[in-house]
Parts: sequence; C-alpha cells; structure tokens
Amino acid sequence: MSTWVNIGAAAVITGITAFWILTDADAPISNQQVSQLEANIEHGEQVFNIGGCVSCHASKPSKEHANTIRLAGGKRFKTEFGVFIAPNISPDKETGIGNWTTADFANAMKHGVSPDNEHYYPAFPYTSYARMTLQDVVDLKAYIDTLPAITQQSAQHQLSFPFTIRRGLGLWKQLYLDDKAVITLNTPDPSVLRGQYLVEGPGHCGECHSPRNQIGGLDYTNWLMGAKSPDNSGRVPNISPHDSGISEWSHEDIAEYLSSGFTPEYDSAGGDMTKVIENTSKLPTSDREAIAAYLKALPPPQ
Amino acid sequence: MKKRFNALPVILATFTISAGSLNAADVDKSIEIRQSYMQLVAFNVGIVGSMAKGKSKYDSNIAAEAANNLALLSKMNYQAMWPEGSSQEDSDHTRAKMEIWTDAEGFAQKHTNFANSAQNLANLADKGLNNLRAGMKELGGSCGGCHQGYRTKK
Ligand code: HEC
Ligand code: HEC
Ligand code: HEC
Repeated sequence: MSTWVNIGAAAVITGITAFWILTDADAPISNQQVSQLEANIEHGEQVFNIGGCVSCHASKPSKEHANTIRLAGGKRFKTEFGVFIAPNISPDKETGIGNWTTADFANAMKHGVSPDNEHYYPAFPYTSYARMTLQDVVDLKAYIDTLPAITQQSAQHQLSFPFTIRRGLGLWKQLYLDDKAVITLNTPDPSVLRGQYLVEGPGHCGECHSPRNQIGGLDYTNWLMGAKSPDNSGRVPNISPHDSGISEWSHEDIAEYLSSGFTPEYDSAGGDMTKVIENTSKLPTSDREAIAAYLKALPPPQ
Repeated sequence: MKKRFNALPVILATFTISAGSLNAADVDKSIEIRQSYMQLVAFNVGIVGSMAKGKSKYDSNIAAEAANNLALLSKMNYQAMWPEGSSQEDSDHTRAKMEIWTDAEGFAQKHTNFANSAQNLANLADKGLNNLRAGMKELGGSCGGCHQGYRTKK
C-alpha cells in the first residue's frame, strides 16, 4: 500500500472518530441532582405559560375538550429543512413522556438530549430553554404530570437528507447551544434581571425575533432585531430599542401588549404573536412588567 | 368625547350597499368602510386602554361609555361591510383574507366572540381598574383571534 493511501485512510478514520466524539449526545443531568429539588406545581404552571409549550404541543382544539390542556402533539412546522411534527408530551406512559424521570426531562429541556441519548432538533427551542434554572424545569415537569394523559403515537418528521441524521446535530449544538446570558446588563434592578431570564430563557422570544444564519444558528449580534418568519411567509418585527424597532413603545405599552395584545395604536397583535400573548396574558403582572423593563433596558444597537 | 358618535350614523347609512355584483368603486368603498369601522373600534379601545396603562386617570363613567360603544359596535350587522369579491386577491387596499368568505361560519364565530367579550367589558368597565384590565384581556384575545386567521400579515 502506498503511503498516500495510508495517510488518506488515517485521515478518514480520524475524521470519523472526531465526528463520532463531537456528535455524541451526553445526558449530563443526573437523577440525584434533581431529586434534591422539591417541585412546586403551582409555579410549574407559570413556567409552562411563559414557556409556551401549548403553542406547539397542544393537539388540535376540539369542542368536547375546549377547556382542557391536551399535549398530544401533531402540529406541523414547515421549515427549509422539511416538516417537523410536534410529539406527544402528555403524561401518557406509552406514547407520551409519562415514563420519563425528571432528569430525562431536564436533559431534554436544557441539553436537547433524549432519554435514548439522541439529539433533538432545535425546532424544539431548547437553545433558549437551556438558560432555565433546574428548579423551574423540575416545577414544570411536576405541572405537566397533572395534565391529561393522551394515547397518541408521535408522528415522524418529514425531513430531507442529510437533516434526517440526528447525529449531525451534535456539531450544530457545539456551535449554537449555550446557556450563557445573551446580553450583558450592568444593572442591579431585579425586574430587569427577571425580564432577562424570562425573555432569553423560558420565553424564547429570540427564537422568533432574532435572525438566523444559513444553518439555523441564532445571530446573537442582532439580538431581537427582527427576522424572517420560520415558515418564510413574512417578517417577525424588530423589538429592540432601535428606530426600526419599538423604541417608541413605552414600558406600559409593552406590558399592555403582552396582556391584551393591543398595540399602542390599539390595533391588535396578529400572526404567531397571538399565541404568545395567550400565554403571557396568564403571567403575573410583575412578570409582564419585567419583560417590558428588560426590553427597555437593552443597549440600543450601534 | 361626544364627537365619537358622529361616525356611527355614517356607517349605518352606508349599510345599504348590497352584496350583489360589485364594481371596483363598490369594492373600494366597502373596504374603506370596514377599515373605518375597525378604527372606530380601536378608538374606543384606546379610551379604556389609556386608563389600563395609567396614562389617563381611571374614570368609571368614561370607561363605561367607551365599553358600551364597543358593545354596540360589536352587535352591528357587519355582513354588508364584507361583500364577496373584496378580499386581498381583489384589491391592493385590503388585508382581508379569502377565508372570510370560504369559511364564513368561522368568521361569524369570531364576530360572536368579539360581541361577547365587548359585552363582558361593558359589564366590568365601571367596576374598578382591575376588572377593566381583566375585561380588556379577553377583548384583546377576541380581536387577535379573528385577525390571526382572517387578516394577512403586515
Ligand atoms: C416552537 C415549538 C415548540 C415549543 C414552543 C416547545 N416545543 Fe417541545 N418540541 C418541539 C418539537 C418540534 C419537538 C421534536 C424535536 C425532535 O424530534 O428532535 C419537541 C420535543 C419535545 C420533547 C421531547 C419529546 C419526545 O418524545 O422525545 C419534550 C419533552 C418537549 N418538547 C417539551 C416541551 C416543553 C415542556 C415545552 C414548553 C416549555 C416545549 N416543549 C415547547 C417543538 C416545541
Ligand atoms: C412564535 C414566534 C414568536 C415568539 C416566540 C415571540 N414573538 Fe413576538 N411577535 C411575533 C410576530 C409574528 C409578531 C408580529 C405580530 C403582528 O403581525 O401583529 C410579534 C410581535 C411582537 C411585538 C410587537 C412589535 C411590533 O412592532 O408590532 C412585541 C413587543 C413582541 N412580539 C414581543 C415578544 C416577546 C416579549 C416575546 C417573548 C415572551 C415574543 N414576542 C415571542 C412572533 C413571536
Ligand atoms: C370578526 C373578525 C374581526 C374582529 C373580531 C376584529 N377585527 Fe379588526 N380587522 C379584521 C379584518 C379582516 C381586518 C382587515 C380589514 C381590511 O383591510 O379590509 C381588520 C382590520 C383592523 C384594523 C386596521 C384598520 C385599517 O385602517 O386598515 C384595526 C385597527 C383593527 N382591525 C382593530 C380591531 C380591534 C381593536 C378589534 C377588537 C376590539 C378588532 N379589530 C376585531 C377582522 C376583525
């Protein structure tokens, strides 16, 4: 065998090994770690609301179940990579997540890793949920456990190659999964900091309002400065304190918008934001005010 | 404050527009009218909204008046404002989606939701600021509930 072939083969093997290591899915949170935290179901409901789980995981509303929260999934999300279909996350033991430990759940939410050690697609916005406190995740799980269990098999996503390979997501996560705060705020104001947590973490506002690069990574240098909508059907507005953003909106305007959906002109929010407002309208007033305080405190872009 | 009633007879008068075959001028007119109707709705929401935000002082009489206007507006027969053939596929001046006509039942349901929450607000508006705010949440949900499915994005 010629040396060239040897070097070539060695390079390929190194490449494959590196790929394998880089794309491995670890589940870093242990049962022992979460068992030390006591769950608060009532608070879990608030986490559920700011997290907007219903917007994606609720099954199609029906008249007979109008007043129950049914997380059987089925909603379809068209993207450039194919169609994602929201899975069943109701506490059903067979088809939902009823058999999951709290650590399984925390690894999914904060690290995008399944109980079978596979990577999740970032269509599930764990890139934001990664910033949630473990306590909030524990509370959230306890609340979801109180919801109706629904038996309904989750559907397969309809993706095109190579996006069908979950392993490839390992590399993507190396680049784009990060639980650090997005913005450095030099303020001790607890309301602003609470708002930062809600917006950058569970509220996942940046997932829609920030632009992405070609492979779907969030562009943090243009944080909240508007983006094309995920299904490519229009634009999500700039909500930074920029001329083309919402610099004209007062603190009260933002808090009211998140409560009733009324804009400063008393038109009402449309598009996907109506779903977000259904959720934020259920938050304590202080949390809506905190979100407003954070958006007002963002450094204006250069 | 009295002025806001003046637009109402104008709108009511134009209800005679029939939903038969439309020429371009009829289409433009009905679009203009329903947009004015929405503006009139928004104007009244603004009166209570500015109280909810603390921009103007809460006054139970004024709040009740505005909420009653909304209840009244929400009960108007709206069909004549939405003649078939006036969607955004027919004119550049409107954001009205085709679904208003292809799913007339759904659209009617959204209107009923609006009328119910406007009446609810009218019942709550003079019962203190917190009740007013609660009523506005529901009202806002009913506006957004219709806009989401029946109006195109900006
Ligand atoms: C923007 C839509 C969206 C939102 C919001 C969302 N999810 Fe998901 N979620 C998804 C999609 C899509 C998947 C499938 C990911 C995959 O298969 O890789 C998923 C997967 C999951 C899974 C894994 C389920 C399984 O069977 O392996 C869990 C658990 C989950 N989500 C919980 C939540 C919770 C809790 C919330 C609210 C805090 C939430 N999700 C909010 C879209 C969403
Ligand atoms: C699922 C995508 C999505 C998420 C998540 C989302 N938004 Fe939005 N947001 C939108 C869209 C779309 C609009 C435009 C609404 C319209 O057309 O009326 C919008 C509008 C807004 C506006 C009004 C801007 C304007 O100029 O009219 C504000 C303020 C806002 N969002 C804040 C937030 C906050 C705060 C969060 C997080 C709690 C959030 N959004 C999460 C999609 C989203
Ligand atoms: C039954 C459906 C429906 C309900 C309920 C509804 N709207 Fe509308 N609204 C529309 C449609 C459709 C348009 C687009 C009309 C057009 O462009 O021709 C619109 C347009 C508007 C506009 C823009 C008007 C313009 O000048 O172009 C405003 C403002 C508005 N609505 C406010 C509201 C408010 C506030 C509420 C609730 C208090 C509300 N709407 C309830 C369907 C609805």
